[in-house]
Amino acid sequence: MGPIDCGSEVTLKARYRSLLPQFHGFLGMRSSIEIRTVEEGLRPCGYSLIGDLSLAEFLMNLEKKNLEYSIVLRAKMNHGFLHGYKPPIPGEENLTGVAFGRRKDEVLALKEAFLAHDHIASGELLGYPNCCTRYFASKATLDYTREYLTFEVQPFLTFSFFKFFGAGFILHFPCSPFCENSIALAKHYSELIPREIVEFFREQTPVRILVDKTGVLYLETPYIQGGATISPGEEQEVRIELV
Amino acid sequence: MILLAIDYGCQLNCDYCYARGNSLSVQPDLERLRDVLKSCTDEAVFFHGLEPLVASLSLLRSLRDLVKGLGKQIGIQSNGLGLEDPEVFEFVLSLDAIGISWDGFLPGGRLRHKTEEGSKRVLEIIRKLAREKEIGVIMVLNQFTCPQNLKDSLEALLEAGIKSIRLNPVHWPYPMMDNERLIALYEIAFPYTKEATIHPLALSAAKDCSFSGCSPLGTRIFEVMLDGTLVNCRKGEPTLWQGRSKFRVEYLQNLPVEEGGCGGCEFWDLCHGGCPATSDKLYGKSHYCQTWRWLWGQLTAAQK
Repeated sequence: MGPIDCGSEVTLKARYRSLLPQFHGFLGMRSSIEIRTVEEGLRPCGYSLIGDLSLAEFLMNLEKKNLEYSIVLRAKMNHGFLHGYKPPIPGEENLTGVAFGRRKDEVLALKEAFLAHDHIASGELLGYPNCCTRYFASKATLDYTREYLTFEVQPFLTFSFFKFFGAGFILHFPCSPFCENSIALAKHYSELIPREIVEFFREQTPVRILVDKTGVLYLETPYIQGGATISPGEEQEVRIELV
Repeated sequence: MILLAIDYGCQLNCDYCYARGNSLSVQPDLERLRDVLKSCTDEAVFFHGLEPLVASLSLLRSLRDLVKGLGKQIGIQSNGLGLEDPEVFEFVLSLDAIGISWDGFLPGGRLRHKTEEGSKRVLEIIRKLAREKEIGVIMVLNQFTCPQNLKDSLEALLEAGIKSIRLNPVHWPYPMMDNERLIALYEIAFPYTKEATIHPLALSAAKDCSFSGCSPLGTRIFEVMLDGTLVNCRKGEPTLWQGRSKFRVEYLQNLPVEEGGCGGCEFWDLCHGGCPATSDKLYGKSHYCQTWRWLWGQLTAAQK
């Protein structure tokens, strides 16, 4: 399954077309980690936003793995700014938020916590580190994606900007790129990803990121380039080395 | 429409050619190419370049037969120089659609056919082709285009019997043309639309790729390399094709006109922000917004 994030696009530069299989694996990292970590009992629940065209396949996959699921929300498919969910449009491709897990009661608890905007309870059910959940809950109204731009050297295991394109080792917003709990979790989860995809991820350095004042984030590495919408703010450009 | 990138070079080295420096030369893999073309729903394939007629005739014939064998139409966009060879001329006539790129009687130096003599040679080829078949001609407009040269060139094409002409503003190298200058040139060309279809001076231009709502990383028109790899239109970075993204379209629609977007623009349905390669920003609207607004205004008023 491809990336589930909306409002973003990324491509492999043509001169690296021999890396196409790794690139596809890179785009599917988060989806793959999201399901496998629940399936293998590394955390209670997972949550994915799925477009209508992939929904049937996604739910069938959960059933095949004997996982319980519950639909949390339906929203308009959004290729632009995704600030809050807009009501679904009949007849068009929409998005479905799906909570899933091994136990029905935990899935329903996640749904309830999610709809109540209870970040602490949601974070616990999703297996996120406590420090990061508390950080997120205290800063949920701020755009702290931009805070990460102040770190010009970051561990590749917690690098968060590829999440817009479906790639990454962790599923949560770490409280810092250097958060030890997040690095340990990412190391653990990276073992679920084929070695060549982990290497492909590691080789994306330096990463050039430009965010314009309208909130378009433009990201370029030696191998890929992509764009995503985040929130509007000041214009920023930074070069990040992954270590 | 799919462009088939036949990248064996070009006799010319025009500094505004968007394919120049983005060469995608590969070893042909006709089996894979056939599979890829078969899986595409597009009904027309165009030999494209750099300059397709630089390739060997045997390869071109194999490619033509491959495309025809799939029940698709096959056309070509060429600079015309190779057509002085009678065998090549005959081959080109066997194709379903022919487009020649010609800069008209324009001053040399930085331009496509380099010299007046080169321009006349290609005009002669255009006349010869037009006697046999209906063809289209693309001319580029740039900062060197003079009003009188444009008039002379259009009249020469009409005299040759050409009924389909494109006047494309170049977008490379920067800086792009001033909008005032481009509008002035289109105004000169308008009276000739009585005798031929001149794009973009017709409402049907809204179907052109420039106005199809492309995103720079997921273009509407894509190219297939001879080994079957799909890549995006080379007006941007030649990234691997990843589908027909709505990303830029929704971004521009969400951003009001006064903030640099297209939200609320009365011509949105015709224009979709223009070609992203003519924008200063990755997801911005075209640098030629002023020209397109003028153009759509003229065309919709004339229609009423």
